[in-house]
Amino acid sequence: MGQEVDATSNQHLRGKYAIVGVGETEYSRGSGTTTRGLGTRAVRAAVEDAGLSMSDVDGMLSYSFNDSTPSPVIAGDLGIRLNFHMDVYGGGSSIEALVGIAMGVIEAGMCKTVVIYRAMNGFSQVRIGGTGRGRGSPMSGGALLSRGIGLSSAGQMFCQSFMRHMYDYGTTPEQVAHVKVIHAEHAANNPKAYYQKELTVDDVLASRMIVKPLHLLDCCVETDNGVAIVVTSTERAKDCQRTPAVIQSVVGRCCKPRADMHYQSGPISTVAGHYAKDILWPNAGVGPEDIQVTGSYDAFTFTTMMQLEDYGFCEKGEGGDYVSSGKMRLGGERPNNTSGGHLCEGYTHGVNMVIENVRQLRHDVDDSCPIGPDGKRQHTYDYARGGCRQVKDVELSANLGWGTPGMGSAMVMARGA
Amino acid sequence: MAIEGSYLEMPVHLDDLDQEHLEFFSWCGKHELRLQKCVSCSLMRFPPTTACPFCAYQDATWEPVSGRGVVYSYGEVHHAIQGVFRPHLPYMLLLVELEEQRNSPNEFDGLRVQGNLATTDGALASADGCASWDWHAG
Repeated sequence: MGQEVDATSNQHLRGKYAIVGVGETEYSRGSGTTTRGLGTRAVRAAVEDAGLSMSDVDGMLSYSFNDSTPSPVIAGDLGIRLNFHMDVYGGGSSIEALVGIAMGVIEAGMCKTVVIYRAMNGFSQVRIGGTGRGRGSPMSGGALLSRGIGLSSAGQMFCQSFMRHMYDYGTTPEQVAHVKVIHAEHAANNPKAYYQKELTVDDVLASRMIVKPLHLLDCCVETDNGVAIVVTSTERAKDCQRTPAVIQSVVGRCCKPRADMHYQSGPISTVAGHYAKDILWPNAGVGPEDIQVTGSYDAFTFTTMMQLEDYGFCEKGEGGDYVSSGKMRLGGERPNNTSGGHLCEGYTHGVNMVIENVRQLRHDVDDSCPIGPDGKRQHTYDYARGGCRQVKDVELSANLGWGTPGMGSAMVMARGA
Repeated sequence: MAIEGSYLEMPVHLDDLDQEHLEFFSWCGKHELRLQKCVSCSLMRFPPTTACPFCAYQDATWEPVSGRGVVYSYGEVHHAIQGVFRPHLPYMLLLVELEEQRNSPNEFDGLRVQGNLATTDGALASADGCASWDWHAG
């Protein structure tokens, strides 16, 4: 796609850090526990998945919209003594950014192994759709120009970008509905997914309108869950039990001009990936054509489409064709969100798509394929309902995280030794 | 001076310290749409900010704008998140590009304001209620 790619020099820590463990709780509506309980379970699961003990962890990062439990509490419950921790504000696009921070603090000698988690009761406590707490406080400042005009949820904030993409490029709701249809197919092969029901394009278009052009089924699910990943050096990864997912490149919360009011600058049918791609691909030493599986953030069907387009997986304006072509279906050229993602598996502000790609690169996705005598799944590569969701021989993945149309993060990972 | 009040039953509080929003809404209270204009580079901006997004200069004057423009994009809300908007469904989220500063400072940039579609007496309106509603080229 014409990017200037330097595959020869190991620039910017390429290949020096890896995700060595992943952990998750059930994706549910009604976790029956606190975010403290969810965070603790997810972190413990991720550390155990890595084959490490709690005493091997000395760094911790988390993010939230003040709807979670901070890392000193989670670490305390698990008896982890921290040399570094930080809890940052934010949602989508945070996980890739925090991977970059983890690499930086380990490189600086501040700690050795970092767990990153997101714990949320996104259905039963603070609903991500915007119906949660904090709505009764007086409006002041900028809120008068958002809440004051009924512009408060993610769908309401993003809809103008989606509408303008349709206007500028002729993208249709039918094309974009394929994102939901395909992710639902993938979720049908994921026993963990909250929604495992397959759907048609007509089902999406017939679902009730939330905010035009978004139908109910263009919007992600709200769930309760804790999710965590373990980041350490590839050197230290040799002591871990799983095949590492080696970080080739990371971009964190890259912004369009006027990050806060992105709609003032340029065409709003272009999103932050337009800028992030110029960091992502040169640093990774690969281009979009080399990627075999993607995790393009699907808070909405449209977010997946606009990001794949602006990161260069197709020509500008052809995102609608790309997502409706079948390329991103399991068995297609480059499957996207093989777990079902935010539209179907569960909503985690981006972590479950990273977890899925780590497992893809291990060649050990947790689908329904039979487990062999060596304790590993015997993948059939038969993607019919209830079957396999492992992409064959996958070596390279990309995650494209979405915060807003004006802010995104991304990460390229490779299968390690 | 601070402003206390309510809009659509939602409480409003504008603090003394928030000079930029106080000024903007004070003009709104006089039924005038005025935006900040940079004293250095002469570009206007929206929403109110504490410096010029184009040149970082801090001093600005408040200049009246025509209020005329084209609908650059929109959303049509059918599911209200805030209960007070429920009686007004479906309401419109309009992004209007004002005629004052189109393709400036760069091509495809514009002075765009967020707002609702409303009748002349200020009531929220749906697209159906607007006889001359059209989707103009942006």
